[in-house]
Amino acid sequence: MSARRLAKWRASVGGPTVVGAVAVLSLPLLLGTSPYALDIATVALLFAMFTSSWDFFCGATGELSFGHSFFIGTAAFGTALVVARLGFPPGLAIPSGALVGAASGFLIGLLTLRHSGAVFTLVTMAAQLGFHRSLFLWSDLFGGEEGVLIGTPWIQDPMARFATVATIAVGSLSAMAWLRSSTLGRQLRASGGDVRIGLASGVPVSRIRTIGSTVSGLVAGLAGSLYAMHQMLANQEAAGDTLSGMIFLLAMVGGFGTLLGPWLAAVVYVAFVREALLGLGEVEPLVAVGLLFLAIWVAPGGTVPLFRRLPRWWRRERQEAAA
Amino acid sequence: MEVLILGLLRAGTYALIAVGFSLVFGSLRVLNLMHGTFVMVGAYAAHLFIVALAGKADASGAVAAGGVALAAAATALVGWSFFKALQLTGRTSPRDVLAISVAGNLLVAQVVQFVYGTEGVNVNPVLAGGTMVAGVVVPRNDLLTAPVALLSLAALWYWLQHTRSGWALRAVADDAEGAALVGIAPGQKLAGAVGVAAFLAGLAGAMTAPSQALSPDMWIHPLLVSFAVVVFGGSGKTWGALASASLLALAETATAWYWSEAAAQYVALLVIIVGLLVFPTGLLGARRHDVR
Repeated sequence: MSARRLAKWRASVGGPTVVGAVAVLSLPLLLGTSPYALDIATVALLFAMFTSSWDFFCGATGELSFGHSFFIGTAAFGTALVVARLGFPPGLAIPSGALVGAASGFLIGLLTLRHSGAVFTLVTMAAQLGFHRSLFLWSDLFGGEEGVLIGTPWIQDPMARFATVATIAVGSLSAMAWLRSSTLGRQLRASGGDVRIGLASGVPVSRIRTIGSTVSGLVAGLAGSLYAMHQMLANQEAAGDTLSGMIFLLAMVGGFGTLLGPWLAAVVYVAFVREALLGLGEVEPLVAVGLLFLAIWVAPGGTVPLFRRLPRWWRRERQEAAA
Repeated sequence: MEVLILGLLRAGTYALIAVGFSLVFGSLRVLNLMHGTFVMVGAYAAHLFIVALAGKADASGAVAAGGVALAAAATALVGWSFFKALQLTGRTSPRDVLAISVAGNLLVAQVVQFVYGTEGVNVNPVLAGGTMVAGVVVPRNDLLTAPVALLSLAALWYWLQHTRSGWALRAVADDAEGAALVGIAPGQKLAGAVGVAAFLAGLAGAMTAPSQALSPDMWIHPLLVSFAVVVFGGSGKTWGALASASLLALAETATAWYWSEAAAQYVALLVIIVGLLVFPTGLLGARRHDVR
């Protein structure tokens, strides 16, 4: 590998991987290693996979999806059903769920090929609602309000479970960061700008968008399967609009299109902010959504890019002080 | 027969909801994702004002009518000030408007949930009781909704055709650059148009509040209905919105009648997903580079 490629690799993949690994290691240090703390840390990392997979497609193409829980829900129910009905072991059930998520991503890619902007948002919303309504219409299969139960935990030890999810969460982040820096990632970005220019530069826009959506569905589906295994349950919440909305808000606040930003925002929110707000009682969801709403209004580019600007600002201040 | 009558009654409401959405999209090329939330705001505001006017939830028809009028006005104010605030803070790029609207929906839903909880809230109708129409028992309040909707549509049509501010909006719709040349700032028109749309949506929400259980997620269905109507019947045309709203309402009522209430919820979803798949270069597709 040439020095130039190494430097590029370090910036595009190494950076996010190191930051992700540091975040993962600091979670048990900051939260402790009680089963409760590890449970929160595990869920935080699964949410990080939700938001970063949202950003993989949406951030690159510039679309705003309001239906990400379609991927998560189909995968979670896929996993729960093959475990509960067919008795699949976890090692087989989780990949099956991830594949279901990828299939959902492929479907959404096809359905939204020609849509952008608010039309894209509304179609993804409609797809997610369609699946969510089906859960109640076919409650014999999907268990209605209760959902589908998974009898046994997939990994007994909370620490081992956390470590497994952490590996997958950081691994998927590096993989997506690598894909984004690859030709595919650049073509995906081109397919979201001016479509005519994209096509004129030889980007197969339709194919690239479908592949991008499939990858997004695959990672979201993997996280959705793990989420169902972790909760030992797939219920309507995993496919609901509340989850879609939360993913949207967290990814936007983290930094649209930065991949690492949405990943970190989800970890920080679930592990720390939500825990701190829980003390507020009933008003908690209102305060949480209110804060995220304000953040999107005040900083449309996201909070992580703001932090990135801090060192530069700091240097300039010092230079001015020296002068 | 039942399907026809119930469907036509529903059509008036759908037209009232969708015409504002269609107006804002048709004239200013903005798909306003807050539109469903305006219907919800109207419905809850009706409850709020009726309780405030009568001192209790159980109110007479006249008080309820006052409550409905106030609710529609309050919704218009909410819609106008939201988009005015977007303008004043410089958040007018299509993506910012889209992102803040989606976040706004979630915020309003949380506010409603915090104040009223997830339990259904009941609102007193303007006209109580039911009447037989061609062998079908119809709530009299629903019968009243249809003429109110038609009158509002006629008023909107008159405003667009015969007043200076209506002309200005149509000028922007025709040619935004040309309108700017003769001194109409297209950006300035957005808050006003959204205010009018919010008034109509709030009116629809307040009028139909008695016949439905209010809940914090009731913003979703009206939004999808509005969008489905635009997909169906084009945008910006007052009477076109009425025609396609009638088709959609009849399709939903027929599905509910011959199949099941649960299946009727798919009609709008299918119109959106399949309709846009079949006609991607039709109504919306041809202008996709402007629709952002």
